Amino acid sequence: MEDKTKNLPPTLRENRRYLAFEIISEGKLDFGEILNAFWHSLLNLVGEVGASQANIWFVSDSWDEKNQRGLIRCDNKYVEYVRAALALIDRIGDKRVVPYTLGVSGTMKAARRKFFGERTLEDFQKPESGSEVSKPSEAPENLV
Amino acid sequence: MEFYDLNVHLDNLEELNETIEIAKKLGYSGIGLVEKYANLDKFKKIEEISKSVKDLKIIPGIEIEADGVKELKRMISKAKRFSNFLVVSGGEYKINRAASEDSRVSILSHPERKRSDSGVDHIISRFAKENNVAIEINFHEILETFRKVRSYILSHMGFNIELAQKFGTQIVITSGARGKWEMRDPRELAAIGQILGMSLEDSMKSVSEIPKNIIKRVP
Repeated sequence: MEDKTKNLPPTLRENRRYLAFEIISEGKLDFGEILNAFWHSLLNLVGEVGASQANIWFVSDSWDEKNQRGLIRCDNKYVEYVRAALALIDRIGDKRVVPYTLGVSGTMKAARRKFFGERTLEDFQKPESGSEVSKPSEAPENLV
Repeated sequence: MEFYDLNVHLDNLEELNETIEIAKKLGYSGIGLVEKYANLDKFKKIEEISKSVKDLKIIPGIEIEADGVKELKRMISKAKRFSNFLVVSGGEYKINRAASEDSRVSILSHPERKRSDSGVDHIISRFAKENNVAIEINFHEILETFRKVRSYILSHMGFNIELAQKFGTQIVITSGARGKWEMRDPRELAAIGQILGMSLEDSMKSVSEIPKNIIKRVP
């Protein structure tokens, strides 16, 4: 038998939210340093018990180095604490920063679409009701 | 929704353009650039520059720091000649009380600063409501402190919010920024209000509707 728990039924799953953020900074930032700064800020604000309940996960795949944007997954009851913890970061490494959230979404896919403007192949394959299927030439440049 | 941050300080006026850019990026419709009464020359410069800035409303204000009630009253009378947007730097109980009793004051800033209590009681809260003086939740106070001190400040701010809710006093949440790097998104400031016990609606009002009404009173 596989050493993995079964997928929980939807009613038993944790209610997660994906928080998209962007960081304005003096220079380029290292993702590891951002992680450290955020955890330091969150633990200072809510403590270890609070952080455990917030169920934080940094979606490292989503880190956009060029625009300095990323996604944080957290429990839906702790969204405001995560926002506050982000706001309480004023320095990452030796660089001054202004972190701010772009928005909150229920799924990673929707967050990427809404806040990072990412498009998947599905967006061009699924015809919308009453409209024609968009041709590949109409696809935006940032097709992922 | 229009957002306003009514307590931004600029140590270096050369940073003004960058501060305006950051404020626009964070979604502000206007910022209150506050200068101490002692630096009236700088205040006049800000006033001049603010007229030429487009896309962002800049409200020049005067911060009053006084040692006693008499001095405070005198300074308010003098500062009133230059601006109607007056922010009183709180902390001392006498100052907090006198500011709340004076309808010429727009904001009572950080009433809990350097205190072992919240600096606001039921009397101050009631007077502030009667005289339309908003009580400030200053984000800078949280940002610059850590651990024990921060936890006390958060607790005092939470108590002030509780009193304000009971008496209907206006609360404004500001960044209290000392330069462009301390500016914060209005939604993040509202989140601070929420973790201190405000509802989402009230905390959003504290960064939008209430500051907007304060600005309306400043001709």
